[in-house]
Amino acid sequence: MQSKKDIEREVEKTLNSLEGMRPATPGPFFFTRLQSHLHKAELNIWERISVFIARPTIAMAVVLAVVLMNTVVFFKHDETAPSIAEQQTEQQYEDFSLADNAFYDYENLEP
Amino acid sequence: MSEWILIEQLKQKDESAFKTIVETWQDMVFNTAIGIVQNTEDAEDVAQEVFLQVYESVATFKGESKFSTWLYRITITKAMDHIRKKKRKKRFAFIQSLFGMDNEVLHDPPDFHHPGISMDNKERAAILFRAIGKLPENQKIAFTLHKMEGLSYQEVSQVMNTTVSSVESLLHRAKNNLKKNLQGYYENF
Repeated sequence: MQSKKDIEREVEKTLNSLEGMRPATPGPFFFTRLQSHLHKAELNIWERISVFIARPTIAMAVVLAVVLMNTVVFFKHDETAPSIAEQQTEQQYEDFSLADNAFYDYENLEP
Repeated sequence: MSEWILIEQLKQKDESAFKTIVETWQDMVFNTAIGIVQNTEDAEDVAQEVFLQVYESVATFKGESKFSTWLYRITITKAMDHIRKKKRKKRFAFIQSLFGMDNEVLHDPPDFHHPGISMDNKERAAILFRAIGKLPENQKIAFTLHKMEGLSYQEVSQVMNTTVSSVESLLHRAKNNLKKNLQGYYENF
């Protein structure tokens, strides 16, 4: 058991034990290690994006948007699509080359 | 090269400016971090996180305070976050051990020996560091910045975004708490 005076002396000595301490320095190649961390952090941005896209709400929203766009395109396409009779006529023109190419003759008149 | 030119270059993500900034301030950041987290490997991790944060958010630095003050603030925030995370992990491991989910035995961290302390003061400094580790957050930060980094009361108040009188009060309370803790230690020695 120490006396009160001894304890106070010990406490004072311990409180002053940081006097004259030198600053601590990091290990060598600190910047090289930091660079590799920086590179990893940049990669993580892409990982974060993929995680964001894979979230159920985002994934469902994307699927719904694709389905909606397909539906819109399908109905629009349906309205503007030529009838079967028109398609058959077009096919006949293509098969028998019934296109009227006479206008070429007006442009290439022999002198 | 001037500090402001370097910061402007870093805002353009200039790698060589970043290297110069890291090499200029790495000792300051590491020394502050080691004083708070009291572990060499953890301090290195914190220092790395600090510079990553600087690289990412230098655009938000408006120059209203000194660059070193801004760096000190980031370092303190990261170091305190690190300590909180470690405490959470320790608490979780303790709960797991209570339920027998983890057979790993929980150990108290070993005494911290600061690499800048002379051999004859090593044991005493380890006892003091243990007591510093038990101080409330603000007192610990003020004590570390003043005693280990050698900042004046004015500089500590700028880093902690408070008044000089608050810093004086924090340091006074920190010293009293340390004395009480050390008296308890030596009485049972």
